[in-house]
Amino acid sequence: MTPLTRVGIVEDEALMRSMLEQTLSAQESIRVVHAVPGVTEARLVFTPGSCDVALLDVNLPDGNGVALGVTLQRADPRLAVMLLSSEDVMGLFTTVQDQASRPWSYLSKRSSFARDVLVRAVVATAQGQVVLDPYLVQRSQPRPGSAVSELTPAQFGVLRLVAEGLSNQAAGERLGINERSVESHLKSIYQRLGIDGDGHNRRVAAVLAFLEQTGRTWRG
Amino acid sequence: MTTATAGSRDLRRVTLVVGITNTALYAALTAGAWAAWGGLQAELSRERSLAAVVADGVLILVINLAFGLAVLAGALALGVLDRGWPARVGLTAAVSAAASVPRMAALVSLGSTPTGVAYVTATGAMGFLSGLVGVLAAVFAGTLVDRARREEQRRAAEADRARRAVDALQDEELRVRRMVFDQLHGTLQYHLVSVTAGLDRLAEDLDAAGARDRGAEVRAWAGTLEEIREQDVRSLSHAVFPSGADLGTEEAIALLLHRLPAQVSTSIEIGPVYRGLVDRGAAPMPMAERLVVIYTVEEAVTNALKHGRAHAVQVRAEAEPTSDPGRWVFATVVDDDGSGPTRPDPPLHGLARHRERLEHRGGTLTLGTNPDGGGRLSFRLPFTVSPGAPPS
Repeated sequence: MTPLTRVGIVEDEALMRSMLEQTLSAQESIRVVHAVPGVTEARLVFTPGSCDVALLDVNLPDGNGVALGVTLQRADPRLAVMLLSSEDVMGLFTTVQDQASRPWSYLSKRSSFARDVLVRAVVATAQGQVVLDPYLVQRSQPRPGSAVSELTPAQFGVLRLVAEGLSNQAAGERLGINERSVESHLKSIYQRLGIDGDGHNRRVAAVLAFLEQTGRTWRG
Repeated sequence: MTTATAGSRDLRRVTLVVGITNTALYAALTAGAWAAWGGLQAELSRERSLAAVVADGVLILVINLAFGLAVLAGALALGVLDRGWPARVGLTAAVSAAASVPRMAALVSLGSTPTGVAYVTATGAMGFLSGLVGVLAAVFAGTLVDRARREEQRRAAEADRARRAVDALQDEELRVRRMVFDQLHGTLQYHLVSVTAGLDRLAEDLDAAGARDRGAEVRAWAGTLEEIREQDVRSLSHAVFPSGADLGTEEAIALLLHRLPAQVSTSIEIGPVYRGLVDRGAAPMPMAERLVVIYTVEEAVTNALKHGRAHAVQVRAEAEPTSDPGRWVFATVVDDDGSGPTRPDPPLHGLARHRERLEHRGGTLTLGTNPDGGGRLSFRLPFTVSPGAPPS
């Protein structure tokens, strides 16, 4: 029995907003508590403690979803934030991760149409994971000279799936290896990236390192 | 021309200063002339005591000083400053003539001056002329200064109007840029995203129905559409308004660096002074300057990658104070590890337009070599801190 996740949506495209609302409301473990079109309305309804995850569109007609996320999290440090954007803004929220009380997740709008991906991302984000957009994660390449570029292909493959928000078990199934192998890969990854601390924070730190030390190439 | 503007105050002030100066000079000259001619004779003939002679000299000085001041005061009292030149000449002459009578009476009553008709006529006429010319010269000087001041005010007002017109144009340009950006982002991107998502679903259905080849084909089309959206629509929307620009200069630069191919390593460093401005909750840099900075950094980075074949790009920026507490200079240095420029004054390629844009705003742009041998582009841009609302 998973605990109930309360979600608030800020998205100016009405069709997109209702699609998100319907997809998430269809889940037993999720309840959509706010669905508003802009920054102004969001400030009125997102009272501290009223929801667990805020889904924020980056480009809003009356402001910016990133700035809104920072404001909402200041008022409610427990609030998890997931950005939605139709363009790759991975670079944009590397700059806010340092000042955020909880690390943020990011999903492209294309991915948000895929029910499983959307639901998994929302739930994992509510649990404190950093989830990055699967399409963008699959296109990510390590930047030369970075610690991530020194990972073996197998380790990089595991880190990619963790960045998508998959659990060790799900990542193992995807790669056709058992959960224990995933764990041992993760241990080597933490070592290689110089990450210490407890399990959950290490996982977040590894995803943030992935975010900062990879880039995406479109057609050259 | 009878309004008491700052201009007419200048006119009055300069007229008074020059008028009093002329009067004092004239009085000193007459006393000197008296000492050289009349007074000296009296002294030599020893008819009177030395003290009486000195007293006469002082009295002559005082009488002429009083005469000059009376002409000046009279002319001003009759409002010569508010009239045309003929009236000025006429009125001043009348006043000077009227004041000459008591002046001559006073001079004649002194013991040490001659009392002949020729002397009285000559000295009276010279005094009258001196009063007239001295005061008119003062009015003329006042008029010149006044005219220069008015011209200066007119020019300042014109420059102000021009500046306001440029500001209005710039605001309009920003408004249109924002509008196009929002349209591209909101409507067009959303439609393309929905089509891509529809193709994704179709591909899944085809997979499920066992038509894996067709599924892969549809998925490839979805991928193409996604690339078009990421590349073309994004570059178009970026050209009118860079993503992240509404958040801040640093965010927008970080975003464009992050979008470089993964083979390039990048870093951005914003100095403590500019950070401090941001943290103070002010909107540190106006949007127009922000766009200039972002587009210039972008061009610099593109230049380094394309012409210098660089693999690492480092952007450092800081705000520097000026003598005016509200004005700052944003100084940016973009270093790369490429080949650097081949000659001391390298061709700017696409940077020429950016240099021009910076120079229009009082900034500079230079291209050179950094200590490690790679390219270094530095630019400086003055900006005014607008005490905006804290970032929402």
